[in-house]
Amino acid sequence: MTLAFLLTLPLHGSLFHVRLVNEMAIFALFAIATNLMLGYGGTMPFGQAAFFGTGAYTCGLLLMKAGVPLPLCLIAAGILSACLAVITGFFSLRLTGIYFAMITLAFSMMIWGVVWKWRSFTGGDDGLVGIPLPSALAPVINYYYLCLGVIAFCMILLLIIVRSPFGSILQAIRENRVRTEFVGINVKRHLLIGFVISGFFCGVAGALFALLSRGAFTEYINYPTSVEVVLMCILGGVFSFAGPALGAVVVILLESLISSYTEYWLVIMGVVLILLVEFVPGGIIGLSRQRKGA
Amino acid sequence: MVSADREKALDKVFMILEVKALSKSFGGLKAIHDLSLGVKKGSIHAIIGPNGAGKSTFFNLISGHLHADEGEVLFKGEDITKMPPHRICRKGIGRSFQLISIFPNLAVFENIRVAKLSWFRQNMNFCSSSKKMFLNECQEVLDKVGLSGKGSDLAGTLAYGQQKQLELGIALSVNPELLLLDEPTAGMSIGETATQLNIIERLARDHGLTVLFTEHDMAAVFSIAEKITVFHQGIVLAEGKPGDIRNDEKIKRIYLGKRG
Repeated sequence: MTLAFLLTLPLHGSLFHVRLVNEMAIFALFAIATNLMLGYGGTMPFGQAAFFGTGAYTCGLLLMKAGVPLPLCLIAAGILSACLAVITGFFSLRLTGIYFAMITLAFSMMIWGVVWKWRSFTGGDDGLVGIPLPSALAPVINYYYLCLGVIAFCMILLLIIVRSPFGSILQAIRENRVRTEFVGINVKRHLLIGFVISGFFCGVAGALFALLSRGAFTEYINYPTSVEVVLMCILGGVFSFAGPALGAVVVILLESLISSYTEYWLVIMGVVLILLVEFVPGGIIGLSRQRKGA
Repeated sequence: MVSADREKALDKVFMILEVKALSKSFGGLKAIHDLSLGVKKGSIHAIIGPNGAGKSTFFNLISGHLHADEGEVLFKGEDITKMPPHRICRKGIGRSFQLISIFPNLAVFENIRVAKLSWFRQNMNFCSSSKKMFLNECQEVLDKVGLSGKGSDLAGTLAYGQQKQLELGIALSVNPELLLLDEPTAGMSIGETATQLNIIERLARDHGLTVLFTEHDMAAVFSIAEKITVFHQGIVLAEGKPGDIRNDEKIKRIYLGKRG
């Protein structure tokens, strides 16, 4: 049903709605990729914006300055973000818990600093404006379908990974790190690979978002973006595959609905989050499961 | 009781684990001091000693969770002193932990499967679906530790004794040659203890595993151990067959609680 809705949306919705749903889909991918480390790996990645932003800027710069074909730009965005994840992960995964969170945050702030200051290359605080799209993708609806295709493909890959032996062991690490080590797993290496996969898909999501907004801006890399994606995961439910996607949909919907009535939409967001975490630790997905169980 | 034949057979076999002059300090406290120990292949070897004697530290040194200040640990003649836990495990050592260490929010079956996936080196397999893998192998382990019908329960919801059995099952899933069990029956009921001891004994007798275990329950120790080492304040106080240890006056005084 969801699929049918997504595919036929351009027929009955306005361009505004198409754009909104497109944004939701991109953030759903971003959240699911983040949740690989958060809900499945049991770590606290607080610098995911670095990968999202790196993807956005990579894609934007390749299109604007080098005229690289679009499919290559998307792949390059993923790969460069993954490379960044190798470096970040190498240093941050030596530590656990709050220390891991702080180091990932610090790395993302460094990337933000570089992009902010390197005006000649990245446009600094003006950002990259006017990323050119191939003429076939210029209509919003065409780009919408391309996006859905890429996102569906990425999500299927992530689903396969989560259900694979690699994913099972990732969950075992979340449950009991010491135990996992003593069934013969190199825990740090395993988490690093998970972190790199997560970084790759966050990068692809970032690239798709840059193309949607026809620009890349420093706030993509800044820490509120990192916080927002973690929030989406928690709101939707970190212990299920689809939870974070649902969280992304809800956050963006609330953002768009409430902010048209009041500028204090974050206050309402906060209340919703507090209530959910207090009463339904499994997130919105957990809520629907509780109902079914009762 | 240990038969004379088996005793003779054990006399001939080699040491699967050799610990040489091992020391470990925490700050000023010498938890293990210049300790040497040999474990014969195929034997059931118990380590006893009062709280703080260094038993758990000793286990953590062998399994790589702690690193020794001095001395060395040889497993089948190979130096494993400085190896990380996951490599030591792959060499053929399985262990259980004193406090239950399982994967509480995974199903019992998944607890075993994770160990099997690791053992069969599937940890970098990104494509297959775990759900269909190693069904028989996992069921076999569950049967062995008496959890046959519990596969789909969440591990964290099992009764305490069953969690202990699961813990043993996880340790067994990596097909170890040497099994380190840190208080395998602690907190179990009398019935559960008997079952658990029975399982451990069968593992050694029928499957040729070497078992090195610590235990506070003396009845349990004397019922299955073929050799006993007594730790006291980080050193070996005595070592011998159960009969000798039981009758040793010095040990009675400091440990078994009788006045000489």
